[in-house]
Amino acid sequence: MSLLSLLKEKRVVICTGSGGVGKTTTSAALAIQGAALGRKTLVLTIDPARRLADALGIATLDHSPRRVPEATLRAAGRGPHGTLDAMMLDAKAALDDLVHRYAPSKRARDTILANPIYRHGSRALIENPDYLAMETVQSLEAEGNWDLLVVDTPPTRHALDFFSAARRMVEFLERNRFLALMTPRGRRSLVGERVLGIGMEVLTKVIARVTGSQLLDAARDFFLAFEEMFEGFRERAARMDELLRSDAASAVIVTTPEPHALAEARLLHAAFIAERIPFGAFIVNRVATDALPESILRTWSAGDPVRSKALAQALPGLAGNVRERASALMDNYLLYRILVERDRNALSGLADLGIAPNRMHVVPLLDKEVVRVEGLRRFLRCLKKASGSNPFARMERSAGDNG
Amino acid sequence: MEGRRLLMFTGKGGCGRSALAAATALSAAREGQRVLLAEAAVRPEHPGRLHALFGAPPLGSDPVHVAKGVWGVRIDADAALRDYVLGKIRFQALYRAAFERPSVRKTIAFFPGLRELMVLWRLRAFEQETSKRQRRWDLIVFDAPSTGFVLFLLQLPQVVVQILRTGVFARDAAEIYALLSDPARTQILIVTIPEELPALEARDFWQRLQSLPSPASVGIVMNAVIENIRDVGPLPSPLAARHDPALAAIEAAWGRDARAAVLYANRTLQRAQEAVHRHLGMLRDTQAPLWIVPFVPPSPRGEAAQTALLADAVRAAGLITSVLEAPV
Repeated sequence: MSLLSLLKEKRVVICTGSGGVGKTTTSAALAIQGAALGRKTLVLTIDPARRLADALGIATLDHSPRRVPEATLRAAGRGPHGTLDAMMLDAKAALDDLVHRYAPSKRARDTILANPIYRHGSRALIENPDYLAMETVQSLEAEGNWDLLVVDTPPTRHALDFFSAARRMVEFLERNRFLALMTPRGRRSLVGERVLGIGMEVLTKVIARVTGSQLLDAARDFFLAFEEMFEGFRERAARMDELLRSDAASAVIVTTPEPHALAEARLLHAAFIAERIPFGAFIVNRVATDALPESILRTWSAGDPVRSKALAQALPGLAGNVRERASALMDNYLLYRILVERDRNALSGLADLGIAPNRMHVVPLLDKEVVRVEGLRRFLRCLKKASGSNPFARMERSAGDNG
Repeated sequence: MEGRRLLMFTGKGGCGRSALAAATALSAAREGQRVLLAEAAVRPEHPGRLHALFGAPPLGSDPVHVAKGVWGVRIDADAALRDYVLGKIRFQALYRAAFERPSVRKTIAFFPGLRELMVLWRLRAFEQETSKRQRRWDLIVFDAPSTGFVLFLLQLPQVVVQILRTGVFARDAAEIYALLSDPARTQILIVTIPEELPALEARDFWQRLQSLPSPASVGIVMNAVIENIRDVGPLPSPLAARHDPALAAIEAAWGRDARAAVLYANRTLQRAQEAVHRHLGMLRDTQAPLWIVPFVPPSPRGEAAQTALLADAVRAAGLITSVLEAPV
């Protein structure tokens, strides 16, 4: 299935990949394309990309969906047939929403919000917001206002964390129900639960000796309060897992030719297969491309003296200043060629993944930064072309388009 | 030599942070220092990156020799926690009974930032080994997992005040914080590249660190700056290329494809160069100490050779000498 058909048919498209590879830009470009295909589209970004808000023509990106003006879609070269809304995950707001939605009573809610463990544990959730992003995707999906959600994933240490976030949260809460047992008050409130092994009092004392007793008390209160919300979490986690593995979802891998980004992309690809997460497309971003025939290149890269000689032979009678500039242009070309070689080697290493040609997309290193709307337009133009099994062959044929 | 003993590299993924940490360690070792290069295994199943940069097998929790003057170590948060608790409780049997129950272990690991603290506690122990008396190392270079990690560490005093308050743990956390926020002992380096988002993030992170109650010593390293680009003046658009005499000459010699390719390459490099100026300008405005490390093409001889080349670049950038000098 091509990238375009994904955008036509799926309900959730998730952009994954290592940090700094252009996931946010890719998400925005895909969402614009989704809107152009007539779908009511929403793009959820994670990075506070202010320039992206500017590029989309909206004042701010925040936790509520904002309509992207039609003018932006037109400027991106996409006549608007559908609509595009954009929002940015505000992890703090998402977390507070969650507590407000699931706390069984006002009292439980206040206990949680005031708990020091919550306040600092919430910081961990906010700094590493896989779970909250996932949670937000699910609420947006449930709202049913959009045909297509394009989701940028958080820059986690491991991009796959996003997909297991819900399950990990449930496991975590399950494990930590134990904590509630560690103090006398906790045990009284959980009559019936049995603890084996060494006495609880001793255990508690040992742990408290290291952590201090306030920490234990705060932790116990926190988990007692969360206990009541637990069933809600478990149900939602199951639904999220189901959605991510269904036909309605598709995961797109974004990478650059940098070794560690590619390594992460390979891990993701393998994990999607193993975990049965539907894999959509592979997008290699910022690839140095080249359109020059190898035969000419060989004369040039043979070294400086030969190069000047070749130029002098080819262009007898050329004015000195013009020759000097031509020579400088060629020197720069050779410098650029180092990047081309690097990327060519990096990409040829992807061949063993056996990705279908129509799922492989290469976006060249553009001669403009992709932060304005016209940048998004060019990015899209490059994206729409599938690159074939040998991305470089295809790229070299089409690099003329990029100039 | 007197000066800083701990260098922490941080920054957005994809900026070459690990490679730069490795190259800096190597470069310092060439100056005759004994260097310990450390990475954190916050997620145990992830194999880490540093070993590959020296062509060495994966690192473990004991320092191993990876290059002349450089030892590598991987700090595993769980192992560090075990050692820490054992150090406090002293009774192995009691430790096993209490802390080796899976439920307790997982629960303990949850406490906000505990794993990060344990990694740092280990790092601090290594830092203590740089003392005049021990001289096991002269310098510790730490490849910190992310900006969030570092920010958390520098907010430790608030965490300690609000959650821990008393106990052994609170005291130790305070010591870790004292190490990190001491400009005479520690330098934090934010690695970035000349692209919009990484550069903005470096600036924002720097500003956030400055707003903390006791700002640590922080510098910014702009990595992968392409150098030796020849000045060719203004370039025409692809449509007007044939009116440019030099490009027309290239077309006359090698054809239209050559002209298009040369123009595209030059425009791309020029864009890169403009981006460097723009982003460096923005970062200079912050008044942060700033170093520029040039782009080093991949070496056909493998990653260890690449690290050696990058170490030359790091030295030329003046990174080693200036960050090791303790502030006056």
